[in-house]
Amino acid sequence: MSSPLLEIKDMHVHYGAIHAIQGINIKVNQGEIVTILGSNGAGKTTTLHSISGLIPISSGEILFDGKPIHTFPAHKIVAEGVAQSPEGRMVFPDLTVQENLEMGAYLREDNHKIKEDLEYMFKLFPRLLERKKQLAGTLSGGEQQMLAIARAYMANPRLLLLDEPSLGIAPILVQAIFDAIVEINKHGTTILLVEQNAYAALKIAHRAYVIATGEMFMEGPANELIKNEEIQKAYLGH
Amino acid sequence: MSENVTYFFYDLFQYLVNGLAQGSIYALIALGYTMVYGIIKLINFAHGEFYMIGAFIGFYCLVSGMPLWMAFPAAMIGAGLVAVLVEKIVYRPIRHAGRIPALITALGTSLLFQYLGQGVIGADPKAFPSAIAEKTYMLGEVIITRTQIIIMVVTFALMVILYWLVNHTKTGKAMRATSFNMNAAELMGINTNKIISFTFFIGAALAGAAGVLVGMYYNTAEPMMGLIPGLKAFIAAVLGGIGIIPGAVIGGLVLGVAENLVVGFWISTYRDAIAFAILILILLIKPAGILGKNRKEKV
Ligand SMILES: Nc1ncnc2c1ncn2[C@@H]1O[C@H](COP(=O)(O)OP(=O)(O)OP(=O)(O)O)[C@@H](O)[C@H]1O
Ligand SMILES: [Mg+2]
Repeated sequence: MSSPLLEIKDMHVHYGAIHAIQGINIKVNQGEIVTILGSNGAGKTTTLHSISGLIPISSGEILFDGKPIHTFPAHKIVAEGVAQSPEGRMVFPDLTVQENLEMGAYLREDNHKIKEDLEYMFKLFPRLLERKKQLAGTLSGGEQQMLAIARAYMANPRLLLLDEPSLGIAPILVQAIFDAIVEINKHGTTILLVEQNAYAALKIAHRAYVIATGEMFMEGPANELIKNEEIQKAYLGH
Repeated sequence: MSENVTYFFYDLFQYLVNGLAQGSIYALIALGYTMVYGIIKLINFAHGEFYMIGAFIGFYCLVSGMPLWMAFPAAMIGAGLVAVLVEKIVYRPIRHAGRIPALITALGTSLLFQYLGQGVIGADPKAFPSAIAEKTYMLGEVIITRTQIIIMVVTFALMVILYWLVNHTKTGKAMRATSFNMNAAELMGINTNKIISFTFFIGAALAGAAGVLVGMYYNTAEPMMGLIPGLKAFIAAVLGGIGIIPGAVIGGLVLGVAENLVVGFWISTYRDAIAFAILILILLIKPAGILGKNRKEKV
């Protein structure tokens, strides 16, 4: 059996005295969509930030393709093949849509493949093509979200981390964005998706983890969790 | 037209010419202030010392017989490298310590260079070699010197290069990305420490250029020379909208021209106070500066 693409082993993270992540284990296999669910402040963003190297971990391990990456600076982790579309989108408002996408491909030299990926993103998100020359700061929230995902994709990652892509976005656009995530996954990119919109995430994910106040609360195949009573009560509003 | 009115206009144009030359210098220094602020939100009070260091590198190069076209880039690169070291050794370790510690550190660094300069070079002003034969040109009654022309042309050229660098190169875009949000830039694979180093280098190189130009203009250089121009350039940067690159240029030129007009037509004793008066006036009308968007600043 091949080793998982991403493996988090007994990870702890502190913000000063706050013990935000208290020993969690996560595995993501090649080709999967895995989702991390949890309510406000559960530790989802902290987990993604730790994977990306933006927050140091206090103990434990993060292995990417078997290699420990938790001591790397953030930009080196991108070079390893992990890209992130961060919470709140963080598109560069004073750069155009096109320039934002160029920044996504910052470390790449393979110009032909970059152009191919760019065309693929424009096909997936035609709104971005129409607004190619527009400053990203003038886009709507939903369009900025598309841009943030496309920008992360432009790094040509083996693992794409998405932090709450449905946050603050009109329901019609949420569907379009989740369809795009499925399409990107089918195209060959492994995805780790953080969501509060548990229902939408469980519908597209293969497996799911549920974090509650920094600890693993539950994990399993998405189609089982979606039927689980506890999950339905706590996260699906049934 | 009566003779008085004619003379008024000659005077006006003379002060404009002097003001634009002076303002170009302020603008060159202000650019570094604003770029560094834009990227790490640091008011680098030691920035005036990069200008002084540039002037002295130029001075020693010229004194040792180097031609101006070599001494000038040497001063720019030298000042730039000093700034890279200062950032790495002094500012980087305290980057996350907060604003007040950073400000105090910057003031300390500024003093360190001033007194180091006095200790090593000596406090007495050095006669800056006249690297080019001075010549004056008359436009009617308005006098413009060759050095003034060089100052304005060189400043303009450097600004065009800077504009191209920031807006049309990958590194320039990475600078803008980093100044928006360092984490977001890191997530692109941008080594933000490198970008910050580079920003210090460029800012100080421009200040170093200004140092040599001023040395040529006033034929003097001394270790405290960075103090007042540094302050004025800071004012110019705030005037234009701190963190905004074209704002530094506009702020510098406005300050240079306004100073010369007020000094020429009105009072000359308060030259250095005028900058502050202009600053207070503009900030009362437009708190974010001439080009600033009036959004709330997190201080
Ligand atoms: N910079 C910080 N300093 C101190 N505490 C922090 C910081 N960032 C997050 N925390 C704390 O860590 C815990 C986890 O936060 P995190 O942002 O990871 O939650 P989340 O699951 O992403 O929540 P949300 O769904 O609201 O985005 C919270 O208790 C939060 O208050
Ligand atoms: Mg979050």
